[in-house]
Amino acid sequence: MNKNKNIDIDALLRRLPAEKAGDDFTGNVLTRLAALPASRRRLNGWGIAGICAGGVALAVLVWWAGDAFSLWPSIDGLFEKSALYTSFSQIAAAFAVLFDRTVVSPAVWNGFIAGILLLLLDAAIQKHRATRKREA
Amino acid sequence: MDEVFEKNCIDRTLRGDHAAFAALVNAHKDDVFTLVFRIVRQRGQAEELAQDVFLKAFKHLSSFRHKAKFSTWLYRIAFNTAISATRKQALPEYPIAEAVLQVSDEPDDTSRHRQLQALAAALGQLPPADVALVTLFYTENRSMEEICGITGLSLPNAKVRLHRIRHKLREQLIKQPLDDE
Repeated sequence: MNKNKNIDIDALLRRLPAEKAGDDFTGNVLTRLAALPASRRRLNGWGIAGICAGGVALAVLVWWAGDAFSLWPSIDGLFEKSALYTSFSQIAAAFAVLFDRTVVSPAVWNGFIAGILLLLLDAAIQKHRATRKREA
Repeated sequence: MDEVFEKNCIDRTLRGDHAAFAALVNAHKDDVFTLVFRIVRQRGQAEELAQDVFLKAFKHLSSFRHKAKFSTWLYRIAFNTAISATRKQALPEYPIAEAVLQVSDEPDDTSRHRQLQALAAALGQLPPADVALVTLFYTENRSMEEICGITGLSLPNAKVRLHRIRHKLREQLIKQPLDDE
């Protein structure tokens, strides 16, 4: 007869031992915590202000360059000839209103786009650092 | 860990006190490690993933609203982290035999010891989520409600699943003949 037929599965499962984490577990967590980039831990008010300031500065630069090199007419011309105008007239109209430099200041748009670019750049740098750290 | 002290540690951690976070890690590291280890079955990987769990908890601690126990919230992170890891790789053999040896030091424990080894082998046949269910209920003594909060299962579903797992394990143990017979 197989004695296994008398098993108490609940009692057996309760006897399965718990595991123990390594002695240096907490130390390792704190070390990895300290190695996290500050901006990853918390994007505080200074971080947001810095990104906004950078965006505005870049917008001013772009605006100045656009004026200095007379780029705006050619950029406007490109936009008017784009597929948005010809193929998607309604969407294009909405975009045209949004991008109309008489409705919204181009500096605002440039700042907005520059801010997004800075955020993307920051994310790419953080990811690159994290990958390098994991590989190390 | 006392709930008041735990809340105090969480508040201090949110204010940037790493020592308070270390107290939280010390209080929960073995339970988190056990859950992750039982799911991924590799000590080295489990250690790293368990550390990842605490780092994630630190990053998202401000989103913890004290609606559930901190441990439930933490185990949910651990469960999701470990289950995600198993989706990326094949699971090795269940490595519980060493741990079983440590508890089988009672004089009349030979057959019990063998049953535990057979149980460990049977656990190896279960899907990782089922092993997690068994671990949370039997090893970590979590209530069914907490287990539902951790795994995302409904209460009836969790109860039925646990019943089926018990039945399956029992069937597998009955099939295995003991060496001394």
